[in-house]
Amino acid sequence: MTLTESPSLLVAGIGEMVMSSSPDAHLVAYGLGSCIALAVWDPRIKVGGLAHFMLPNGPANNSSPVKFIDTGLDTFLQAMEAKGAVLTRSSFKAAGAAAMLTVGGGLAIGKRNAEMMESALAERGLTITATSLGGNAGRTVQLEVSDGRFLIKSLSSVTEL
Amino acid sequence: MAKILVVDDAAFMRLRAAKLLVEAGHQVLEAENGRLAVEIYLRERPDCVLMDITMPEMDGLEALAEIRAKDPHARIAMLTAMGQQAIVMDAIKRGARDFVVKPFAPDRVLAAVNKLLAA
Amino acid sequence: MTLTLSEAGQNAVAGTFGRAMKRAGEALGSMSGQVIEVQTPQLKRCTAAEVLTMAGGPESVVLAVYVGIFGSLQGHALLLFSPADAHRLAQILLAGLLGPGELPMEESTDVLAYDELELSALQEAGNVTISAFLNELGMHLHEPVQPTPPQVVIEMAGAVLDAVLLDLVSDADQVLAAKTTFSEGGRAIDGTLFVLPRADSLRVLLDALGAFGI
Repeated sequence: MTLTESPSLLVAGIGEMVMSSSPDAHLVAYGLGSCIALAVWDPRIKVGGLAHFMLPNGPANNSSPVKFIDTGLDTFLQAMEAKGAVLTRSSFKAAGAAAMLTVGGGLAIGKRNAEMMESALAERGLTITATSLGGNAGRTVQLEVSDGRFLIKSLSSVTEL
Repeated sequence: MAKILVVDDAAFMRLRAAKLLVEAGHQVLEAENGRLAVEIYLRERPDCVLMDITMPEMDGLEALAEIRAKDPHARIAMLTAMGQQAIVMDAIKRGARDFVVKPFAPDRVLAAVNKLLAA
Repeated sequence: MTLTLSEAGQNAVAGTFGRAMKRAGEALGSMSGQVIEVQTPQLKRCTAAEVLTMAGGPESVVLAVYVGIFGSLQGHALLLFSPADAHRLAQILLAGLLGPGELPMEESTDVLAYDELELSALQEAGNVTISAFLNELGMHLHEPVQPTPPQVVIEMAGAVLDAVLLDLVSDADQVLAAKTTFSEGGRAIDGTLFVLPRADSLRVLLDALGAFGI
C-alpha cells in the first residue's frame, strides 16, 4: 500500500484509463476478474497507457470513459495519440477476461470481453502483441513506462509479457 | 439401528450429519447430489433419507419426487438451509414427511429421523 | 435498470434487507456456536468502484462464498472473510467433527492453503448465512427466492466482484449495494456480507411491502 502514495504509481480503476510519459511511472490495474486491461506502449517516445475495460459493448460513457470496449477503445487510443504515441509502432498487450464465478451460468462475460478486444483492435488495423487472457484466476497488471514491460500478478504467480 | 441416506453437496454437512447419526447407533450412506441419491436409494433401499435441496446435477426436490415415484413409501425429510414457505409447501406436496431448516440443532435432526422411522 | 427507487421505496427495501441481514448473522452464529454481532446494515446506491472500496479495495485478498439469487427477486450475494479469519472460522466449524490428528493444521505456513473439508465448511457457512437472508425476504413474497449452489473462491476482491458488478452495470452507472459486517465477540473473525440485487427485480418486493409508487 505504500506504493500507492508514490506519484509514479498511476492506478486505472474499474472503467478508467491512465497514461504517462514519465520514465519512472508504473501504470496499474488491480484485481481484474472478468474485466480486461489493455496496455499500449510506444517504444520510440516511451509513452504508455493502461485502460481497465468492463464490458464488450454499450453507449459512450462520460463517468467511465473506457467502460465499454466498442465505444471506449477509440477514446483511449485518441488519448494515447494526443500524448504523442504512434499506434502503428506501439505494442498492445491485453490481460484479464477470466471466469471466476461459474455457478450463476450467466456471468461468462470474460470470454466476450476477450473476443471483442481482439476484433475491435483488428477492425482498426491493430494487432495484439501479447495476451494473458481467460482462465479462472484474478490478475493485477502493471505497465512499466520506462521499458514497456507488462507484469501480470496472480495470487500464485508473477509473469511478464 | 436404521440405514439412513444423507444427501448433501457439502462434504462438511454429510460429515456432520453422519457423526450425529452414527453416534445415535445408525448406519449412514452418503450422496452428494440428487442424481446419485436416486441411484443409491434404489440400490440400497435405506430406511429413511435426509435430503438437501440446493445441489448441482439434480436438486433435492426433483430427487424427492423421483424417489417417491419409484417407491411411494419412501420416508424422506428435507434438511436444507432454505426455509421459505413456498419451498416447504412444495416439498410436502412432493411427499417430504418433515422439513428441518439449517442451521439445525442435533436433537431436531434425531427427532426427524425417529419420526420418519416410526411412520 | 428501469426502476428508479424513491427515497421511501429505498427505505422500505433497506428495512427489509436490514432485518434479513440480522437473520443471516444469527444463522452464522447458530451454526458456529459463536456470539455474532451484526453491524447496522447499510443500503446505498454506488458505483462499481465504490463497491470495490467497500470490500476493502480490489487488491485485498479474500475468501468469498458466492451465491447467485434468482426466482422472484434476482441478484448476487457474497460473504467475504480475510484468509486468516476464514481459517479460524473453519477450525471452529470442524472442531468436534474430526478425531485427534485429523484436524487440518491450525498454523499453516500458507494462509491461502485450505484443506478440502475446510473449504466445504466455509462454503456451507456461506450457504446457510445467505439462505437465512433469503428466507427472511421470502416471508414477504408469494414466490420463492432461489439461491444457486454456493461457490467458494480465494481471490483478490476485485476479481471476485467484477463479474457480479458487470452483470449489474451493463445498463446503469450505479448499483444498489447492501452491506453489513459480522463480528465474532472476540473480534477474531470478521465477515462482510454483500447483497447486490438487480434493481429492476425489486418491484416485486416493493409491491409486497406496499411501497411501490411512493
